[in-house]
Amino acid sequence: MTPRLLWVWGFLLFLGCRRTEQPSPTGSSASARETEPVEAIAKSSPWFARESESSGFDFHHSSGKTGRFFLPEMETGGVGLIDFDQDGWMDVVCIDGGSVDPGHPTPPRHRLYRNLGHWKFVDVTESAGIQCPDGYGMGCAVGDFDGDGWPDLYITQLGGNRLFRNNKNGTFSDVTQQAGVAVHSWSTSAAFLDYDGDGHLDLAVVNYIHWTPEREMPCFSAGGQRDYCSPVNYRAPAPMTLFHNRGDGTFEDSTDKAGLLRAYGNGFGITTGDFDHDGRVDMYIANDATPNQLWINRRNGTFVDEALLRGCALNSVGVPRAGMGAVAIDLFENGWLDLYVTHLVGEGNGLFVNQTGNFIDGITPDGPMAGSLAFTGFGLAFGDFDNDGIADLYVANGRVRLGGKAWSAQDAYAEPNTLRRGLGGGRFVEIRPQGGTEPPIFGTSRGLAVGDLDNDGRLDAIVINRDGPADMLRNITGPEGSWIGFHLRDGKRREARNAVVRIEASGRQQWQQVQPNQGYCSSQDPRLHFGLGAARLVEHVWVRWPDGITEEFGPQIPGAYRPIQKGSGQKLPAAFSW
Amino acid sequence: MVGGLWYGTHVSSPPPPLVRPAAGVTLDSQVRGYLDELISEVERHPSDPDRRKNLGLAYAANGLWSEARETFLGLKSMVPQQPLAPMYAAVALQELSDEAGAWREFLQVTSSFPAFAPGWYRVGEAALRRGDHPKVEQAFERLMALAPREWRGPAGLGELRLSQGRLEEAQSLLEKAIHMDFSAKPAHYLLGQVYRNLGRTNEAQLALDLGSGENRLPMPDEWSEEAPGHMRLLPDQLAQAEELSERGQPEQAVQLLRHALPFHGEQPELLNGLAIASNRAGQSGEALAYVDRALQADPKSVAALVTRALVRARLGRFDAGRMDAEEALRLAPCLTQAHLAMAELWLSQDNDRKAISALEDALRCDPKNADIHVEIGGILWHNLGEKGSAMKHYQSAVSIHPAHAHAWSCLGQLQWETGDSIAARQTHEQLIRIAPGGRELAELESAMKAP
Repeated sequence: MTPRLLWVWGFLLFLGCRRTEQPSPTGSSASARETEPVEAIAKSSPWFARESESSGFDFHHSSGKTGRFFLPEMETGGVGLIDFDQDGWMDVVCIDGGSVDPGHPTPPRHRLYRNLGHWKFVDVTESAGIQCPDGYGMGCAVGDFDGDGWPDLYITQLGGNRLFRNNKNGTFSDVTQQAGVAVHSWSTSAAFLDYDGDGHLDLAVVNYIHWTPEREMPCFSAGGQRDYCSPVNYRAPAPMTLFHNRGDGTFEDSTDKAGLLRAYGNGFGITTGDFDHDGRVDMYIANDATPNQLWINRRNGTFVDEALLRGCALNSVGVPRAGMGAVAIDLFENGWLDLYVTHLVGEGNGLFVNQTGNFIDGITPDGPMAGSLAFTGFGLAFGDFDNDGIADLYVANGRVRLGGKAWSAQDAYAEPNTLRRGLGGGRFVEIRPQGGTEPPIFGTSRGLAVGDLDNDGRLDAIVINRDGPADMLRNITGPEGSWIGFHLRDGKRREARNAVVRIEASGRQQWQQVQPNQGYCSSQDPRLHFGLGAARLVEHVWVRWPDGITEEFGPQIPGAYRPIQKGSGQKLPAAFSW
Repeated sequence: MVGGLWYGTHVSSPPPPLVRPAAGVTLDSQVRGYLDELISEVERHPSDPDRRKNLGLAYAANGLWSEARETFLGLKSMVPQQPLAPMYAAVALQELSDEAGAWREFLQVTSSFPAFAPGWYRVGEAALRRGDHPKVEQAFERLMALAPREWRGPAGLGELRLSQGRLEEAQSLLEKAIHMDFSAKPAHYLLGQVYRNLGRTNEAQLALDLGSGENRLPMPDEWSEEAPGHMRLLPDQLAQAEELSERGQPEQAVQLLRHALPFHGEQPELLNGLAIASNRAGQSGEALAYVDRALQADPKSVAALVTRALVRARLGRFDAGRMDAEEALRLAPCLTQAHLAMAELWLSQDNDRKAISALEDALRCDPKNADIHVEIGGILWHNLGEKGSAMKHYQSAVSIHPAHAHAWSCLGQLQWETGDSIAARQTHEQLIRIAPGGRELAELESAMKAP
């Protein structure tokens, strides 16, 4: 980090460095028509209803803030979906902060809620054994690291992560030490992936900055109000950590061996996928105010960062943005995974469009980034909430610094969340009421998990709000669109992480990959959900398994979650045109 | 100049209301003091647009954008023939996150002042971010006509051509922009993308590296140059002081920060900043006094501990300095700056091996820091005569940061000295590409002229 950055940052604000991305006027004078935003706002009945605490879901996040403006207090709060008891209902794990103030040590109160079905939840944290006696909570990743068919839980923290192995009886065991995956840094997001194709899920952990309370310093917002600092102030970006799964319940730290110390930043988000179509899973890291990394898997246990050359490290003119959450999605339905990253107010969220392995920072008046300049985005998820066959976008927003329009009298950092309905071809329209709820949610939102909590085929959502109650959002869109879901398992009934599914229904194709560990510090529903619109049959389902084998599965009837197991389909020749 | 039409003049119409900071806003004491001064000035001379402008800039420079906007709008009503006031009112609107409103007002500026180049620049930039190709084209073509030496014109149009896939036109425009100003980083970055799309990977890598990492500064105008002078928030002043020190003007840095002392008294960050600047200015005694005060206020400030280690290095108090660095590392393991301070202490005692060891520790915390490789290379070569090892470090530096001119220059000098004239000439050619006319190139050429 050069010292100059600070200075530039300081007076850039004055000079006005922001970019607009709204209307598309054509004339030279400023008529009213020209200046109306192109991204028309679609008024709608609410898409979600907030579940009340009577459901049993009563999580209240605490950052432990004590007025000393410790940076971790501003970034905490992830959420994960995990069917830990394998009863078919997605359970919920919520990540609390705790306290980083040495004068007020308080352990985080992470919570695990068992889903009893029909919008009833019960807090089973204590009986399940999900306790973190120390550390400061950030996020979580769900994955079956021991391949026993039961999902395990990894919790990221400042000051020691925790791995909880699922005991298959409603309880977990803390196996952090045996497994060797503690990471005594400031970890944020994490993702399970099988980077070497040995069938065992490895673990990638994103770290933010080297931070201790002693490194804190006073920072100020407009006019001189005490506020949280930017990560740039600390000049201490941290490299990520990669654990290779030995297959015996333990991991080895392969960060150095894999070449991952060659590039690093203030890491927040991670998503994985085969971005260059070479058959191996790559990793993309969204960094806050430092260049992002695209770790291309070299198929020999090592990675090389090609983000700069491939065009997804920086914005279109070479400037790093404040990357928060990241997801990989095939937005243009061409089989190539695009990247979407949430950013700071004034930067706008970013869509890196994948053009056969290289990316462009695609800005269009009606793209998924339109309208995002006014907010600081964190959690994000694409999902077909209205089952019309096109992915929509939900973004959890919340400031990191004071300033701007006051949305809430109680919380100066609060912003509304946003919901954009997909129109196809990468085009979106904003849904009002804001965020799809009436009234809109105003909070300092961080983690977001999307999944089908009541198994009705309509995607629900959970939002973690800093120092506030979490919002459980029940999808109340109409039942018009049909849908289908898949749960993929490999030949040994293990999770098929990063397998890709392509379906064809009524002449339309859709692609999705299995990677629930993405967004911001969160873990999504591991099942794949496809909205189908008016289609009444899915004619074709192709699956490309992580080892490159492609199988076709016969026509599928919509309206249910279908298990798909490797080896049970018709194997296609290697030359099959994916 | 259009912007200077009214400077020093007074207008006769009734002056607009004076804008004061909004009630309830907590203001930094130095900011408040400065604003009070400027408000008094405006009260004494309510019809003087220059004083209004200063107040508006002061609000903006300290993040009070609503007040800034109101002041610029008042100024616009006082001097309607002046384009900077409405343009800055629109900038304020952008900062207040009203993008649609700002766009409307930028268009109005170009409509009212069609010969005002910065207005077209703003419209062009905004249009690029909206995907409004016709407007981008119009704005940057106007900018090129009005300000033919301004690199942002061809760069903006080049960005449009790149997004349209018209690569050869984009290349030509971006090369033109770079020819106008080699330091135009965004143009290098855009050109790198063009090269990449043309399959010219090596050139792409270099251009992308040359162009990355710096914000695109808006086109300068008369007011933008004055803006930093109105900053009174402590972090901004500390950053300005650091910039002055980096530019070899530590005395000015000390002066700047001394002005903040009456307002921020025992603030450890200010005292630490003063200590750094004083130490760089050769006033190590004063520096020690400042940093001691900083550590009295916050004994666990790792930044101050590192500073005191460096101050003590300069004062010859090496053992005490090392204790400071060690304490900083205890409080904040993997603190690169503490390892660097440790290296400095060992170097001051001519203990090159231990200095290198400390620098290697720093590299473990900050492995992508090319400067550390250059530093190690320098010690190995000049102090220890280990040219082969030094070469490896210089090569690592340019591999991490292909546009690191100093590293290339050192590499070329070492190649020349070791008799590898072919490699040295290739390095020379590389340096011409990345830093034409720069000090680093001159140093290499000077070395290559030596017998």
